Amino acid sequence: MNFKIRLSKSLFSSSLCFFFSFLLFLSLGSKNSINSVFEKSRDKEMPYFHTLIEGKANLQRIQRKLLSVPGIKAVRILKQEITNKKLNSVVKNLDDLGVSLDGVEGMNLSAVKIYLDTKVSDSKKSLIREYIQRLNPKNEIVFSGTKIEKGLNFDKVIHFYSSKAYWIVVGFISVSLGLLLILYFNSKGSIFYLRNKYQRKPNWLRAFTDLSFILLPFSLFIPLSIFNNYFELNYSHLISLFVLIAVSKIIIRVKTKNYA
Amino acid sequence: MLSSLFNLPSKKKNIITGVRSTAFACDSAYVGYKDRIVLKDINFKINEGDFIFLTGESGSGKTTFLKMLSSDLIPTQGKVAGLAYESDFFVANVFQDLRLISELTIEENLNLAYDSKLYKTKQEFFSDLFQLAKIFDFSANLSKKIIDTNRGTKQLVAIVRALLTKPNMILADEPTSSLDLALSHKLFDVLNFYNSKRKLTIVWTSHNRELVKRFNGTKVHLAGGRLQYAGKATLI
Repeated sequence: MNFKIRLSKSLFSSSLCFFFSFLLFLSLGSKNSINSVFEKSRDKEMPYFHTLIEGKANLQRIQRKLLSVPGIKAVRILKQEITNKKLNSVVKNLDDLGVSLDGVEGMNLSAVKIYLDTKVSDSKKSLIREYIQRLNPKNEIVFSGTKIEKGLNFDKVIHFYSSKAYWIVVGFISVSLGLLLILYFNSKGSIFYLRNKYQRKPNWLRAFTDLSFILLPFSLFIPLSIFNNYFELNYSHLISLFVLIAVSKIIIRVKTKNYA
Repeated sequence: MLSSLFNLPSKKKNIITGVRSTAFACDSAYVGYKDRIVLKDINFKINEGDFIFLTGESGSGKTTFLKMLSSDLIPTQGKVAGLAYESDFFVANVFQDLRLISELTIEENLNLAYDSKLYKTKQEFFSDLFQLAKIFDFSANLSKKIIDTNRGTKQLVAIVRALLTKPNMILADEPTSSLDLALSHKLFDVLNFYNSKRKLTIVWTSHNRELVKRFNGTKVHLAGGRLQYAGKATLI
C-alpha cells in the first residue's frame, strides 16, 4: 500500500508519530543549548532590594548615581501606579490584622529596585544603603531586605534528565519513531518478500541491506542511551536520519524501476 | 501404500527414461493451524505435468491444501515428499489476495519476477512480459499503477507474474474469481498450453462451474477437509 495512503488511513497514529518524533528532536536534540541557557542563568541569579522614597525625588538622578557605584548591577525605577497599588494592598492587609499605619495612604512614594552583584558582601550592602540615604537627605527612605531573583527553574530541567520520566520519554518517542519507520519500510518489506517469492536466486545481500536500513535509526538511539549519561541526539543526527530515509526511498524507486 | 513413492527416482533419470516424476505426494497428512486441523487424512499424488482442478466449498481447505503444496504449511501428521520439496523445483503462487504492490505500476510489479538465473538478457524477459501482456490484453496499461486498475486486471497481472518465473508448478488460488467467462477461458487456454507444451504442473482452485465442466483433466474435490475426487485423478 502506498505510504501516503497508509498515512492518511492512520492519520491519528501517524500524526502522533510525527509529533513525538519532532518533540524528541526539539527537546532532547537541543539539550546542549538548554544547558548553555542554564549556565547563563547562573549569572542572572542576582540579589536585589527595594527602596521606597517619600516625596518628590529625582529618580533618574538617583538611578544614574547608583549605576556608578561598584557592586550595583542594575537600577530599575518602578512605576508609580504599581507601587501605590502594592502599598495600598499592604496597608489594607495590615489594617485587617488590626495594625494601623496612619498617614501612609496619603504619602507620595516612589520605588526603586536595585540589583547587586552576587559577590557584594553584607558590609558593602550597608554602605550602598547609606549612600542612597545621603543622596536623599530630605526624604524618608525605607529599605526592604535583600532577596535573590531567579530565572527559570533549571534545576527541574536537570532533574528531568536523570529521572525515570526522561527514560520513559526517550522510550516512548523511540517507539513512536520506530512505528513511523516500520510504517515506511513496510512497502519495502513487501518488495523484499515478493522478490524472494518469485525469484530463485537468494537475496541475502539485499536482506542484509534492507535490515541495515531498518536498524540504522535504532542504532542511533540504543548506544547513546545506554553508554551516555545523557541522550546526545543533535541536529546532525536529525538531518542524517532524514537523509537516510530520503536516500532509501530513492533506492527503492530506482531499484524497482530498473531492476529488470 | 504410498511407501514406494517416498523413494523417488531422480528427476534426471526420469527424463532419460521418459517416466514422469512425482511432483508431490502425501500419505495420511493432517494439516492445520494452531487451533484447528483443516485437512484430514489426505492421500494424494501429483505427477510432473499434471493439470489439476481443485474444487470445494468455501472453508473446505483448498487454500490450506495449496499452502501444503508450496511448503508454507507442514503436516502435523503423515508424510509428504516429491520434487516440490527440492530446491531446483520452482513453485509459483497466484494468491487469492494477489499480493501486488499498489504504489507500483503493472510493469514494476512484473519486474519483481525477473531472475537473471532464468533470463540471459533483460530483453528476453521483457519479450516474454510484453507477449503475455498482449495475450491478456493489458499491454496498454503497463505504466498504470496497480491501485488504478480493476480487480480483473490485477488478477491477470498476478498470473503473468507467476508465469514469468518459468515455474515447474503453478498453484493458482481462485485465479478467475474476478474475470469474465471469455477471459477465464483465455486464461485456461494459456495455462493449458503451458501444461501441454512446457509440462508445467498446475493446481487450480476454482468455483467456476463452466470452466470445470470444460476441463477434462484431473478434478479433485475437497469437502470438510477431506479429499474426494473425480475425473482422472491419480489418487491412492
